[in-house]
Amino acid sequence: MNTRSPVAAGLAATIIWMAIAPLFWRVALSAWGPPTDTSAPSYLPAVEARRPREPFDDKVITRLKTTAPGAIVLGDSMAGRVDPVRMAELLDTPLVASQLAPATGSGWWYLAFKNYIVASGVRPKWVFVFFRDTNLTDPMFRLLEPYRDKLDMAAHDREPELNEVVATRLQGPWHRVHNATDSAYGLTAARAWFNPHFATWLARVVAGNRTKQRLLDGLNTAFGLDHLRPIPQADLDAADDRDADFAANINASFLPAWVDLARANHINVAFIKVLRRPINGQPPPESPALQRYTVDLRNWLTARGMVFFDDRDNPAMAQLNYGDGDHVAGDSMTAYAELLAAELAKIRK
Amino acid sequence: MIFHSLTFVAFFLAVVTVYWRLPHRAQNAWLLVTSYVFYGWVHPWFLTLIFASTVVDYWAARGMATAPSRKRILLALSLVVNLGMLGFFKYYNFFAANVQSALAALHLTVSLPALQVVLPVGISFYTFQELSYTLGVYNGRLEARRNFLDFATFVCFFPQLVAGPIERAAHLLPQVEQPRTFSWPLAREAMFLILWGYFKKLVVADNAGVIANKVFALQAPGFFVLWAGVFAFGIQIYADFSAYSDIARGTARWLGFDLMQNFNHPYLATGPADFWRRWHISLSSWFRDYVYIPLGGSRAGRLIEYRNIFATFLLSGFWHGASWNYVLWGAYHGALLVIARLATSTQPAATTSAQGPWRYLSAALTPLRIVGMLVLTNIGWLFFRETDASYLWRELTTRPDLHNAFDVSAGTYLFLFVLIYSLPLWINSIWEVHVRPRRPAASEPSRGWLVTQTAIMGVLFALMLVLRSEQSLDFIYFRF
Repeated sequence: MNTRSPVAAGLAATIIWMAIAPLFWRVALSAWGPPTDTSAPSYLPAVEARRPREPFDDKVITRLKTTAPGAIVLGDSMAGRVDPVRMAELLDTPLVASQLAPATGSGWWYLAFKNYIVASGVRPKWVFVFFRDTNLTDPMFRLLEPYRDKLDMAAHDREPELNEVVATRLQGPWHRVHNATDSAYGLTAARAWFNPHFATWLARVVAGNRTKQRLLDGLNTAFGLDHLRPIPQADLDAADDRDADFAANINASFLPAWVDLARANHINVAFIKVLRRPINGQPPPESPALQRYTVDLRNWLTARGMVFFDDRDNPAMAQLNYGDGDHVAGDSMTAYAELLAAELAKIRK
Repeated sequence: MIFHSLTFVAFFLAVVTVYWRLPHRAQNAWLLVTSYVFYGWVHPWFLTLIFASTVVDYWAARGMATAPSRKRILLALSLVVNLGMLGFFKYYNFFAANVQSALAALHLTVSLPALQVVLPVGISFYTFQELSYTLGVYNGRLEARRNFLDFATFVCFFPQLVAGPIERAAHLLPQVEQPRTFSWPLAREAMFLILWGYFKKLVVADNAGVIANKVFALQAPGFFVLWAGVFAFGIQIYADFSAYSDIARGTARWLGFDLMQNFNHPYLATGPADFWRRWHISLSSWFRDYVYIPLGGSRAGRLIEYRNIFATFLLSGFWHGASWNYVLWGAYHGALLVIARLATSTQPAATTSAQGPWRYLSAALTPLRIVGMLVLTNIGWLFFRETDASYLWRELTTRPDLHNAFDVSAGTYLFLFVLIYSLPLWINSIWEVHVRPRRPAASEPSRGWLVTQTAIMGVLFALMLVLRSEQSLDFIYFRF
């Protein structure tokens, strides 16, 4: 029996039906969703079309203008290792401001530098950027969900340099496929509508209408950072050797645009590769690829007038107390500031 | 290359398109090349290992055929190379750390170097698959193959290379050697299987996995939150691993291959033995055939049988990873099986054969037995998921009566969240096992069923696009 024609036709019909079925989300959104699509076109068209976003946080600029700090520490929670008061004394400046946000990546750091520090017009003596391993040249690190809210707050409606780097890194046509699918079916809007509705409905089922919000807030608190385990090793996996290919990654990172911006605005930027959690007072091992990467990064930055320091350069760094993960403990932050200031003085000489 | 990426989808479409335009021998060469591309996509050096072990096993088997007097030595060579590679890459750091700890307890300080390389993915799977070949040739159940291309294709066949099913040489090799034909009905079935696999992975496993990861990152979860997290992990690991198997079987069918079923609705098992007939079937049957039976199986009396069961499960646990929690998990399941055997051996014959009134009682008790086994399975998942002994002890001794009201509501919320996301999994299992009418294997599916299946595929795809987790997690069994 020749089954080819009817079955092949059936297969084709299946594929067509699969292409049509997700249009349900558009119908659902128009019936039950918000009245109009209020989401703005994304500042990252390389990965998405439209998405509701957090507004740009311009209070940071106001704060920077008001305080006019002499130095700014920038980064994720790794930037929290410096005692700002001691650092201000050592740098002979009235204030060292923290511009750090836990769980952020190089995308946020770059935007914070461009849209907050440079845009504020303040010209600190120093901007210290703290990072782990290859984070500085990995634009995708903590860029997308679930880290978007923070990025939104540092991003303007258009961020062409940011988008260009992301599109370059994603390579190939896949981001366009995602984008086209998203636009055709309204997926981002459907997700933004469905997820909170489902969470709230479930909370109502469990806790009742009056206390549903308390349950959701309680869950957020219960899974907050202060309830998590102190992680004995690092709270991030060691860098993959793929990311440690400096030559392959530098031009698909935010670093070139960042360095150009710093030079154009005459801001001294010190990039500090932090020491990951020491083992028995010794720096943890690094792969040969990461060692090569560090040499390349150092050469690249210093050739462009930037300052680079690797915590591993000073063995005393490994003697400091660490808290959880790669975080320096509170009682060692002053010592860290002193060691870093001494190293910077040496470099500047 | 990972299954749940558009790169893989494009790769697979290209492979299939070229594949069916080639004659049989060229198809195998094409499969070999594309399988090596698939496997070496991220870490090309992995290819040196798989190629080396392929060459060794090919020549060892050829040697057994041409020089039977050296069979034992050649088998030993195959075992040493395969298990040595597995031991070195997977277990060396575990061994070194334990030796150091043991010596430190004796106040001896020894510093063994740590291995700074990633575990080659799939090494536990393809070494076992190759061993099924050399052991088969050694036992005289298989003929040593002359064609290296066919054998290499059997070893690295990309749909099941990284996380199984662990195919037996007797089942897969003849399929590599025989010409294959494309079947539209099979392709349609395969498409359903692949889509169902993607749904299980992206919607069920990844959403449950986010909950499990959050709970197991907590310092001191309450009783209800903890067990909701364990339940989430139980759903995650089943959905994740069976998804991989489904996608593997579906993609293999598009290439004209039939891979073995790896999961048969294990969470509807009514007891430990039933569970292991349904869970990771390719591995459990491998251990049965190559460890349990060679140890003597059940032939040498009850005590020896219990010892053999226990030893087999200890090894099976250790296969999963270089950590004591996996050994503990294996021991736990070994103990469950031994206890179940003891219990059935002391029951009256009428109850075990389920005749007369016992049949009705047994049927009435089935739901309870399923729930009971599900609870026991989840206790096992706690051993499997918790790698820190101090936390494990704390979790095992967390008492339900020491909870607060928030713990109950939070645990219920998380449990229901996972249950709702996993509903399609439960519905599918109940439908397949208890509702779907049985039809002869060779018969064509009815038109009604085809329409229903098509409708389901559209719904699954639409749901998958929106309900998929925003955090895409790796397949769990990649790390084994």
